[in-house]
Amino acid sequence: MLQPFDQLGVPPLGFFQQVNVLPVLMTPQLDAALRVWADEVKAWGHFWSVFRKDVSPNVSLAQRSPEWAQHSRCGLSRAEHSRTCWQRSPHTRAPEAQAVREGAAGPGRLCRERGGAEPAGTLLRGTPVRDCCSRPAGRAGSAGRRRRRRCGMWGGVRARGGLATRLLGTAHGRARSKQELFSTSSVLSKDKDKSAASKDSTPEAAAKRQEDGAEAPKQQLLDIIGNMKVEVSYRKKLQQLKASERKKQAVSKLEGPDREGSVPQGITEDTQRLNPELVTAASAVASSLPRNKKQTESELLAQLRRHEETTDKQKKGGTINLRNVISEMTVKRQSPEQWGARLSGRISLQLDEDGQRTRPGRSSAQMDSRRSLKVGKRLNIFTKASTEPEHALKTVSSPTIWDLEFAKEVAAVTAQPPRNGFEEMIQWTKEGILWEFPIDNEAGMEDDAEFHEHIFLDKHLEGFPKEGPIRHFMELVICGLSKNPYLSVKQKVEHIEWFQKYFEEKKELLQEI
Amino acid sequence: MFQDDPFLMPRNAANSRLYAVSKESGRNAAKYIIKNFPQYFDKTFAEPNVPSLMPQPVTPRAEGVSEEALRERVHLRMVKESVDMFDQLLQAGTPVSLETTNSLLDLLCFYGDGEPTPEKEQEEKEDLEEPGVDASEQKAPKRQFRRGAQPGPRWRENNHAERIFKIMPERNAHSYCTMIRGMVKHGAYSRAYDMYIDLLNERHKADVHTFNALIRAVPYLKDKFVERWELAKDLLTHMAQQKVQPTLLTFNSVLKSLRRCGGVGRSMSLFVLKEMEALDIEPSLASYDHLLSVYYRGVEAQSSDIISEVLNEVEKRSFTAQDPDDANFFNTAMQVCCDLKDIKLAYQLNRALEKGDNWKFLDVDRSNGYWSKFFSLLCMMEQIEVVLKWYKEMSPSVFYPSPKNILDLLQALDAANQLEVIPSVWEDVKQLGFSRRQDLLEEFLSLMSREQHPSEVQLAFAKCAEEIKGVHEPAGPGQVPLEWTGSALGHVVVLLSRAGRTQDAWNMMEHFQKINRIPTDKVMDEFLSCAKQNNCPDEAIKMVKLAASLGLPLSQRLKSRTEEEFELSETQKKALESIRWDGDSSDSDSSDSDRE
Repeated sequence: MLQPFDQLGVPPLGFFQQVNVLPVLMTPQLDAALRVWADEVKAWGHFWSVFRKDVSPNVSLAQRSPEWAQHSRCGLSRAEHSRTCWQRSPHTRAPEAQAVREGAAGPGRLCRERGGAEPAGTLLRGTPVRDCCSRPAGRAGSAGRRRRRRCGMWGGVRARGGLATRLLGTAHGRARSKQELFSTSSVLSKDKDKSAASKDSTPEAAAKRQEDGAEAPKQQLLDIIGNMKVEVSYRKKLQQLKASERKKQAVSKLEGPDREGSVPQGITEDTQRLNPELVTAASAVASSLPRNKKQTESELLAQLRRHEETTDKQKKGGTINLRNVISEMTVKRQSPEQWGARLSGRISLQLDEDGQRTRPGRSSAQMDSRRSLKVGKRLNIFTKASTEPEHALKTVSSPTIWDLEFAKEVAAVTAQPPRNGFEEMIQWTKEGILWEFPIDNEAGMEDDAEFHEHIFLDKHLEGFPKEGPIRHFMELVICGLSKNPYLSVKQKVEHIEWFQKYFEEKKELLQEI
Repeated sequence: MFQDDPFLMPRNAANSRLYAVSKESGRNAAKYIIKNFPQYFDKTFAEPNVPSLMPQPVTPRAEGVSEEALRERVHLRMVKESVDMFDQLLQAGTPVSLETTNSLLDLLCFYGDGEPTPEKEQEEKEDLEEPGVDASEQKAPKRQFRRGAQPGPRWRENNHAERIFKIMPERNAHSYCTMIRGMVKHGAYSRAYDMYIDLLNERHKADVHTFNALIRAVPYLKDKFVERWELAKDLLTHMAQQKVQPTLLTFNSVLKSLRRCGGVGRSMSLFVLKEMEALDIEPSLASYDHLLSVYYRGVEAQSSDIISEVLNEVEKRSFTAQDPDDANFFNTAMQVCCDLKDIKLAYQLNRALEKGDNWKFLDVDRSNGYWSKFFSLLCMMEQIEVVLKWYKEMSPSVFYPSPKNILDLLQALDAANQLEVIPSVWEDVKQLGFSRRQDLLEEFLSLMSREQHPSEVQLAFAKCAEEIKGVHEPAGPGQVPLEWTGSALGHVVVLLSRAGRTQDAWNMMEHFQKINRIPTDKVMDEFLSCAKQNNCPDEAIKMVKLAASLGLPLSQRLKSRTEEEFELSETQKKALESIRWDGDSSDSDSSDSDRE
């Protein structure tokens, strides 16, 4: 996305196809380098004003225009983001903060722009890093998002420096905020700053921009870069979160350029009042048309004014929102869990888009450290209910093969081989391989009868005559039965009953005899 | 696993595996015989009968084609016969009751339309009785099985289950549910989801197991992490709508899916745990296992908060197995402790493991893994005395150290400057069967030969060196000796020289020529000093000869040293003088001698 600085003269490559090669800077050298750099950039001031218009050749106007108009919005979400980071700030990482301070907003941003997953330390050391060069365009969105997160981290770092905190609290003027606001919201602040300047300055937009460029080329350059970045990294999020608003705006914006015809986009974007040049341009357009010159011109101008109004409104809205955000920061603190959830949500977005595991850096570790099993919300999907009737229903149906196998599987988890002889014997006993102790010679007898029921069968002879041959016979029968181990008690009783019945039937016959 | 006779107790990992495998294979052989020749086992010898020793009835009793026969075949899990019987019944026009068809579907879906193979049953049995004893080739499928992946056949389109499902005149919720579970089990995830949609369209309700299966399938249904989580949440919401009470397994399935949801998982898994808490469902070890892998797997910068909280919870409770994944907890947790290099957490975890019957969650393989991780961590973090105490306690009664553990131990000994313990470690290494591991041998030798030690230590070292030398020499038929490396040979020479065993050292020196290696200067110096100490000028001269024949630049210095330091006889002097210098081969020296 970034041009290497020594190649700025070359027409920009595809939006996503450029290699960012930052000169190798050591941290202490950063300042000096920047000074030189700023001078160089001064010379490029004019170029940038042109470049800004042409910088995204393969992004369509329609796509671009709403984004440009939404700087304030983006700035807002950045501010939000940085708020989260600022609140976090449990550990101070002095070297990094120092580095940021040294590099001011400028190099910090540039480093961040490169946006890989490299730790900040290496970034500052300025190892040349390739970005976006071979990454498919579809992924660039995620890269942008990742970059955004890094921005957030840096914002946090900066805020930890204490400076930004103070600034936020006292709401310094814009001029200072340009320099000192922490880096995440610097785009916003600079943007605002510049537009404010443009309000104050002479109406010639192009000339002003050049002037501006001459005054603070570095800022402008960064500004532009920031804007470019906004376009990429925020597009998706905006599409997701603010689809409706965006559509609305997009419609209004789309109307703009269409009706404006040849009026350059950049001018309408940046001019806050309808300046004479614009008016002349509009009338020129109108005069080029065959008919309805007057009407066309007035239409164009009306459109421009409407456009300007919306821009203004949004800008104000953005400012106000920013203030709100800042005031919220001081008053209301987000709970760490919410924060963690949000951040992790962001991380996950990142993860799923490029489909590979990125290294959750220190921030995620911090985030984890805030997590706990004790606190936090539940899903709130289920309600606790008494499930008695359902259970009753379930127990009725016989276990399926699934249940059986699952039970087996679960049992297998803790079924370990015996560790010693005792355990093995316990297991064998359970399986019925070993005798149970104390030894019981009735083991394995299925009926629950006690031994006396097997042996003392006299009580079953109640129905027989007290004496006589039948009695004698029956006594012999029970004697035999009591010695028979192979019949169950029940069978024995049945046997006796059979005789009883038999003698009952033959009773008459016997009596005859 | 244990062996009653201490003499036969396996002493190392390989033997213990061999022992367990042979035990199990004997058991399987007996079962095979009983199964294939039941006619010879018609007598019940045991009185009372021992059912667990008796062959399972495998032949169906009901003959002919009837629903009763079908049910019996289903019960006996005869997949193919059941399907055939079902088809025959259908052709005969006999209606099969819904219940029977459903149980047939259960069978088909469970086995994924394949026959329950004897191998698989065997595996399951092994799981039950001797986990981790299987031969290595069986290991892979078993692992898969454990992890709930798809063992056996994958779900094929239009298999018998689908065919029967299609021709069923009426289907109830159970039919759908079992189809879904079968499809999930055998890897047809998107079909399972479609089936679930069908079920909803038919206005049936899925049961909790089906939801569990679907939730487990979520990672395979969606690509993006957020979408996965959304789908899982949708399924949970459906459960709530259909008034299906979730179980522990439901939430475990959710957590398992969250393992594959990256960052989303990290935030959501805690919500899931809170939900469990709200529903009075106690997390099982599997829940914690999933949680830990959500938080710690593949994450570089970590904090120990989650795991310490988890361990506090685990310590408080005693566990019974509720989920097949429960078994993984202790290993995962120990891995996390190792990654965090937190010995306190590891101790805490170990306390939890020793509590109650928790040790039962570790089968032989897992417990080896667990202990070897623990031991590595100990070596890394603990005082050497503590390490040695653990080492004495654990090895080999609790686990068999891996070669890496031994290396860790050696490093710990080195760091604590307790190299005199090395000979006893070497004894253990021999017993553990690692004496042929090149890397271990190198480490041993280099540690022993690095510095000069008191003489008794040197003697012990020399004994070790002798044994290491033995490994490199042909021991018996079939035993391929290890190849000498130049550095190992040098170390052995140094060790033997320091112990004053000049003759042995010289024998080793001769090996250099055999294997075309060149001894380093240090080695030759050591040898010469040894020769001097023992007053063996012959060896010294031989040494100089060797150096000269190798064309080393050092040989001149060695020669002068020999002349100065030894009292040489005339013949010896002559011999020394007569050594031919093969020119100044200064080019061929250090390139080879610096091999180590």
